[in-house]
Amino acid sequence: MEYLSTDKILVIDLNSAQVEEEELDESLVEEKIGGIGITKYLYDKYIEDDPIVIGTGLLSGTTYPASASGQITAKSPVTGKVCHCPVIYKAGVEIKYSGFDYIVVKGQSQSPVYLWVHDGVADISDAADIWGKDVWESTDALRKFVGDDLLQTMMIGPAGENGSDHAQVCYNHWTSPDRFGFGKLFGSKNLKGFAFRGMGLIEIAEPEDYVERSLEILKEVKENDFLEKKGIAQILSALGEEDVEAWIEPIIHRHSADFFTPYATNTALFIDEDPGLLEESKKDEPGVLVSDVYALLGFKNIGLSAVDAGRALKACAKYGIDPFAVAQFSGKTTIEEIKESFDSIKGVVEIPGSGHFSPWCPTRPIFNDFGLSGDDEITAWWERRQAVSMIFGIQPIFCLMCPELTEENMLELASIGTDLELTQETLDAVIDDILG
Amino acid sequence: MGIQINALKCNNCMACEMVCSYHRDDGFAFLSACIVSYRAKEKKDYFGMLLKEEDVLIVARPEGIEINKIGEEADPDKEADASAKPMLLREGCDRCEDMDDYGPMCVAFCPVDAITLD
Amino acid sequence: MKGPKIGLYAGSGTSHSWLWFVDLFEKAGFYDLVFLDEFSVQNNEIKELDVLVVSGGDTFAVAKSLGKEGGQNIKAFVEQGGTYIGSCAGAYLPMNSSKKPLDWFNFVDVKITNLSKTLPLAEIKTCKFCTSYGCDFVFHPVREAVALKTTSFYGKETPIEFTAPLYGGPGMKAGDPSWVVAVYNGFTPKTSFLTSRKIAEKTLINNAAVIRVPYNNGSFYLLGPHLEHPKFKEANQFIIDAVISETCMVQNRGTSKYRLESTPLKEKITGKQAKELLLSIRRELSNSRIVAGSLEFLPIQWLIGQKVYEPQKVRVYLESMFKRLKALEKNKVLILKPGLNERITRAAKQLTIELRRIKREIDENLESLKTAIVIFDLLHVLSISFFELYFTNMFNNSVQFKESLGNI
Repeated sequence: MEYLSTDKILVIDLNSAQVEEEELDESLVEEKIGGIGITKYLYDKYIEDDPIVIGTGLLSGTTYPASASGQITAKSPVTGKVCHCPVIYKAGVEIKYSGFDYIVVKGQSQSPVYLWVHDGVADISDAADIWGKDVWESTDALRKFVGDDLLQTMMIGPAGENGSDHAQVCYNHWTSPDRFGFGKLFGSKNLKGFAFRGMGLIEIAEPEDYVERSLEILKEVKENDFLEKKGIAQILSALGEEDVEAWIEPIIHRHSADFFTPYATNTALFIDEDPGLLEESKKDEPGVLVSDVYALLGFKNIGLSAVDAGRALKACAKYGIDPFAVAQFSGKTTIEEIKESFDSIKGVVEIPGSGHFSPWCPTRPIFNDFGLSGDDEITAWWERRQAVSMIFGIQPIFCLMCPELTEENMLELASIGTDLELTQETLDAVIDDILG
Repeated sequence: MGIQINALKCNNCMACEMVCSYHRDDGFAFLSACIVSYRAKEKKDYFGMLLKEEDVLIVARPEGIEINKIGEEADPDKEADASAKPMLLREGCDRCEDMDDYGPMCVAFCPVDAITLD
Repeated sequence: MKGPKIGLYAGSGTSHSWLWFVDLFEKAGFYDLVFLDEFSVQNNEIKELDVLVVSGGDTFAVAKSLGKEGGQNIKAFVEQGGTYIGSCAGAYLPMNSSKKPLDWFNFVDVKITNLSKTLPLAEIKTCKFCTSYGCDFVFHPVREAVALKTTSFYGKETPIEFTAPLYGGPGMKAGDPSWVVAVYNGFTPKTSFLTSRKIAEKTLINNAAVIRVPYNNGSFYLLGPHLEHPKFKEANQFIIDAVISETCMVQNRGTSKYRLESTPLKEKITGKQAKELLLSIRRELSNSRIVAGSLEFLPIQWLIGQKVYEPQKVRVYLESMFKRLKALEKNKVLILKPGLNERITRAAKQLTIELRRIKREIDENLESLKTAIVIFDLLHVLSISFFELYFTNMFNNSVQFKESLGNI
């Protein structure tokens, strides 16, 4: 697979510590397109080994607007279903630029390891120094060891090591869309996580056409009024939770976006520093970056102040536990009690629709209504939109905001970029397969 | 005519870095860009942009713009000279003068118009 | 005509500009390249070469490393028909000088015009502006692209005008005007003035930029600017034309050196062993370039000898090797000198360790000069070894390809 791709699938056997590479065949892309179309295929291929499959969308890391995400596909140890979790922030794009489109991890390691993936090399590395450390300590330790602060990580914390049902795979220092207990799955394999860094180059079949068309689509996207808004509070307002804005406003520092994403879906809360500070803080850990709107809302709803909600989110991110589940099920109302409850959280997070996609992502359109009405229509639309975003690698929340990102133009860019004939029929078939 | 950066408008999405590198490499990469998202202080939520022009390095910090003349050092005998300039071996910005359809790519592709052409 | 065998000095004292010669010669299809450190020059491994290239760096450090013996070997090499191409620091090296250790290299009667008893006023205060030279100063009036023009002694009917970058190289006055092949003809919009324009003009304009000195059966080429810089295609062509014409002349004169077509001291590795070696190289080059990428944005530089080194230069070496990995990985069989695979692996691993060390030192505000010195030494060792592996195999592939054409 020459274009929009590294042409490589990595297969790692933790039992035998073997690392192998396969070529990504064009015929597979023609049949399954990319992202969870292919991760699902790989999952089924290696199903006997209870694999974790990391993937990238076909358009991930290109000039298509919001082409930010990667994916984790695995069987949730909590629901028992094959689920797909987006990889966001800058981590999703880093996977592809580290040299692999897809990574299959099979088996179980005899001792704690992490996978260091860089420039087309995959090293199974001893995690003894970071096993037992929280997510922040682990990411910081790896960045220091490798010598690069731009290293992207997918790490578990103590929650995953201890086998909590609500253990998350976190990205860098931040909580993730993982509501499936993938952190528990990682922990059960003695897999502390992944570290990615790469300076690859992705080739495009028709670069000028691809870039020109990307710009046209971006210009259409920029016509939207909602792009004047920023951050998670305004998302919650659009979902009917208007009082969150006033509650959280005093501790908002700045908003930031995932790769190439026009809307800033992430908000940094400063809880130990003046939120108005523009210079670099002298404090090492002044706050927390939040992308989980429902976790934030959950902490508000149990009566926490904005500062304590921020502290709770930070503690969850360090521990590597789903903050939404903590807010829902801890039954505690003070920050200290909440932290102490991490190991005893019991409860089942409801996964909407067919159970394949994370409810981290709001289950309705945001800012634009997409011409939908009725819960059933919205749920069906949402599932399809999640599938599409994860096949092509589009930031999944932005996909719910932006009607200008259509299946048609995603297929168009995918065809231009790869020189393959990728059709609506193929996409429909892939989605049907994913949704079962 | 110059590139203007509003660091507070920037949302750190790296679009500018990607398209600048594309302009130089004809593929998608981040290696060769003369405009770079500075994002090494993630935990502190401190981010901005660096733009290397022919003679100057523009450091677009959230607290304000800093323009440093390339080639000047405060104390050349000092080992670790804090005013030594990064990105010295990257090419300076040419405003994508060979791309008539777009003008500077970073300006065209910034999704939040944090980068403009004066 | 047989292709030239070209030696590139990449040992102590050099900066990264010899890598530009590597790119240049590879593009021109000259794969018979030999990479030399100071020991190989001292051991007279240069006697089999057609061309010896000494590029930029710290002239004093280069002279000190090569030593008296290296100097004598270079002299003998040129006398016996070899072509010496010296760019920037390499141009200063063979000029007459009373200063130690440069006095081991007094081969050509060429004086520099950028020498002064008093230091001219600097427009921009930079450590790249001047170097002390005994009681005098070697100063650099400009940097970046300057305009050159060939003279009637270049052998073309009409003069050729082109540009090339100046990064500390000399303006020159030749003992014999017929040696001057190109002069500094003017400045360009990209020229950066470190002194006043008046001083810059006086120092450079109409003075020699490129000199060819016949020396017994061979010749010295002294290039003030870096004609080998990859962004200056016309200047690059000048060098290629010079190499071709000098090599042709020597072969036609019959003074060409005997050269073995193949060296018996090479081994072949195949299959898993070859794959593992290449994976190991890729792993460590990647680890190193990742750290080097993060160093690029740090406001630091090191003064090593008389030369300033920036962290970005580390990346230049690493990228030069990394971009060639894919081509090397296509080989199912690798040909290399015994011990080379261990040397490469060892140097690559150590380089990663040292780069990670220097990143920590810088982050913790500790002294990092000692580690920087180690790193730049390691880069020389690694890149010499890597390019030896790469070009041995490229040359072998090209020989096999030509042989296969011959069989058709």
